[in-house]
Amino acid sequence: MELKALDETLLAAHAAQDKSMLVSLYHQAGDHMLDLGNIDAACFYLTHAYIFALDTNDPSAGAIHRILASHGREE
Amino acid sequence: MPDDQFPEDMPGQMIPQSSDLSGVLQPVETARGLPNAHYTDPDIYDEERKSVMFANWAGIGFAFDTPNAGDAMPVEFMGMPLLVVRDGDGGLGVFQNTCRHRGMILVEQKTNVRGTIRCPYHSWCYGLKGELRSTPHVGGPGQNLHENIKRNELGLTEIRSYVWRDIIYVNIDGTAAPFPDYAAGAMARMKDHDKPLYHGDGFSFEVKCNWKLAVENYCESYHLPWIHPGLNSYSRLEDHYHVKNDGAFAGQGTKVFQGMQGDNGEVFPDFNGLPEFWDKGAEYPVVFPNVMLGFQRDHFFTVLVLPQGPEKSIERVEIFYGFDPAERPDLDDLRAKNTAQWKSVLKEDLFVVEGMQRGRHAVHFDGGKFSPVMDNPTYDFHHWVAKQVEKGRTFGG
Repeated sequence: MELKALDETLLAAHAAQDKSMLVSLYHQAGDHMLDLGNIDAACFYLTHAYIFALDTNDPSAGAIHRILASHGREE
Repeated sequence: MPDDQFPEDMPGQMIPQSSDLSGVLQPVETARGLPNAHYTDPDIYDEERKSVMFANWAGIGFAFDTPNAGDAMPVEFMGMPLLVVRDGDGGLGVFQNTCRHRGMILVEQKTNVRGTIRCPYHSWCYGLKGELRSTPHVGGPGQNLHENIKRNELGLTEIRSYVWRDIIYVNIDGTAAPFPDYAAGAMARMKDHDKPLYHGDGFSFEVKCNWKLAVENYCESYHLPWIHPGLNSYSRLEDHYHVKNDGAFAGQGTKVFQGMQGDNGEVFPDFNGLPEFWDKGAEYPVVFPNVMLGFQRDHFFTVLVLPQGPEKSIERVEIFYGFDPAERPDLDDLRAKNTAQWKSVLKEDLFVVEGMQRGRHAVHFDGGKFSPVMDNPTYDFHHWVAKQVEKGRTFGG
């Protein structure tokens, strides 16, 4: 998904408080930034994915946490 | 009479900053009740909030309110925001309902927390046992760690709590004796009733009175023949006795309790294994400061008196049985009848406590005079409250 389109979808998910969707979209954005080698931007998005995953007890929380921890962003 | 003509020692005169409790601390024969200011003055209300409610074990709610893992219920008790949480192991915790970051209220409405308690402000996340799990962007964008943000020091502020007979008690200032010591008299006296409890029904009243008047009225049987004349046919005044204890516990009992019977002769099953005393005995004590209890052989109820200000309270009444109501739909009608009866009886007390509240604005009222024979439990409560207030004034905090 293009970043602009992703941004619009994210805003819609926030408006709808669709937290499962927010986990997925922020995860995608983080992965995209990792592919581009932009670690800070990736960790920003992945942090949001992680927080919404914690919030909803989403099973992806563990995997996202491992990525953040590997970059020194989480314990 | 203009204000400036009041003599300095005018009985019952409002004393906004403090109050003279020496009369309350006398023996029952010569004691006076608490001065008017303890029922009307916002400063004294705040003083009692600290010295009486927060320094002791106050009832704030019920364990059955949060039965499932992840259930989180905000409770505002005398302005103090609390959060009751059922954790994944079935334990119950009470926390200050504020984020350790900026003090934001964490949970606004009763909910089931699926994963984490997330602050709605900056999304700091807490586990069900209060541990701080994540601090997003705390060290900058995408940097969720900082050397000065020590998660093991920043969990939710836990409030001492204890569940007895499904009632959640809290000691907010953390200074009271452990609950089993604090309530030792009540727990020992009522050990016969240590049986599984099943919640049945509940209701509540908003009452225009200071919280203490509801307790004071409940403590004694003196008023029964006048306020509850329906009792006279089977539970005469002489059938009642004082339940007295040196600690934070007093009330009254009866020797002639009659269980409720339905139109077709149906009755509630008794609590299993009660001694013979309870065949006709029933007791109505108060665990000070604000938990009123009713023990009968076939049901138990409690009334939490929840202060809403110097002159307003909520009485929350919940009734429990020794059987699971879901398994005995044949007793639904009888339960409804029992609830209606208690609602009617407790409602009969409302005009009294509200009348006494209005009476506390009479500037010549001097706290009143106790019957040394009939008012002992009420006197015990006044004396206990006065001791707590004096303790607060002496030791501060």
